[in-house]
Amino acid sequence: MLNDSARASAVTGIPMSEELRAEIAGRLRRAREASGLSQGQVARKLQLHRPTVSEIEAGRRRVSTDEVAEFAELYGVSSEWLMTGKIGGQNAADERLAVVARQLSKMSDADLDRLLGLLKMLRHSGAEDDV
Amino acid sequence: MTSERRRVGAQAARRALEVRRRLGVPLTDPINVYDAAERLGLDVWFFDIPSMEGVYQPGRRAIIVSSLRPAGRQAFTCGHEIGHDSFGDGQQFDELVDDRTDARRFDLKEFRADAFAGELLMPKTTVLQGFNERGADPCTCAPELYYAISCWLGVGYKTLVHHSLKVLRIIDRARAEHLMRVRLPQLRHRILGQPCVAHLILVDAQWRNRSVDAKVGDRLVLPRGAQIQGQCASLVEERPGFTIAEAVQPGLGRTTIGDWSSVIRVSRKSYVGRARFRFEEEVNGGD
Repeated sequence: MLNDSARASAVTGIPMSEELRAEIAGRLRRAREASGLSQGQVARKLQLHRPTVSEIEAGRRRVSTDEVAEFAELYGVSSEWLMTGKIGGQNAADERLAVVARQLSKMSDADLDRLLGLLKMLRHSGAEDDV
Repeated sequence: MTSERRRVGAQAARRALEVRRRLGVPLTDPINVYDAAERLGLDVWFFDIPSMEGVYQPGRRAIIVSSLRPAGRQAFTCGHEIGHDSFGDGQQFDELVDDRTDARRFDLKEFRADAFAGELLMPKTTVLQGFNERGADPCTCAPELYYAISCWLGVGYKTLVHHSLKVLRIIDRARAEHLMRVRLPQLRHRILGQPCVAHLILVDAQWRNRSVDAKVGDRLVLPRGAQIQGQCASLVEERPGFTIAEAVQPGLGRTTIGDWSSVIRVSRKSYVGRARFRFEEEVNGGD
């Protein structure tokens, strides 16, 4: 498990550990796949070379804070989630959704986990999270 | 219908018409529900979970629609979730239901969101315009006309029949039962004159101000002699009364004949991802 200073170093552009880079790379790949884009499409939209996207997702190339923000914007996910795998302010709402989904549906635990995983990565709009 | 349901239904209908007005979609035109959601600031996602219709998450202003449902059903679900957003209903999880038109346990928020979606997609003026422009009477026309109008509106055939009976009250129960007895494979067979397992989108010259949104593998029935520009669809066969095309790859194109034309937008089959990217062309050498 990475500590906060390691995460902070990644955000501020200070050289990060390989472990952290791999974690971020994995989340970048997950977010891209969830958003429906291929590496080639991402490269075209962000005016990058396709191998660059591939290298980033393989954890072989470092990403800057600005690049993470660009990926987050394109994928519609939270920069915080891309960097840390966590997101503030939504846990209670996600728990409630999980309870409702379990009660109402025939959804398997695996599917529910996937749905909650998607919700967790989405960018927060800042709107009131009422239920 | 109880007075409570009538009151809530009327409230939902007013709200849906307000949304249409705000978006500048005239009552003579069908609405594209995904484009509408985006313009309302909602981020729509398709996700491949079979036992779910949709989810609305207000904190993220996100709508998630099952990628595994038929196109008309997906559109209605998206309209339903926009309804939850419009009424500030809070986080909603909508389970898979065998048929949205079936009576289900009365829940005010769900009923209101359904009524909202119905009015957003199928206002009476729009539906009647659909029949009038095709010289058809909803009480006597062939089921094929209902199918054509349901394609034009972007909803399911049975959804349109049910809405015509229960909400618009433009047909009686016997007529609705007659229309409901026709099965979709049978309808596709009657339209094409041969069996067809693919989803069939009936496009006629009355399609104005709206695109033909299809998924790879869908068959398009176009006005006779229509041509296609772009790589997303290709002509299959010319028939005496119409032209058959097939959606073959994601992307944008156009179909034209004479003064008439319509944009074609094709997404992957069972597309998973953000709605705004569903028509992105593949990039050569992509992963």
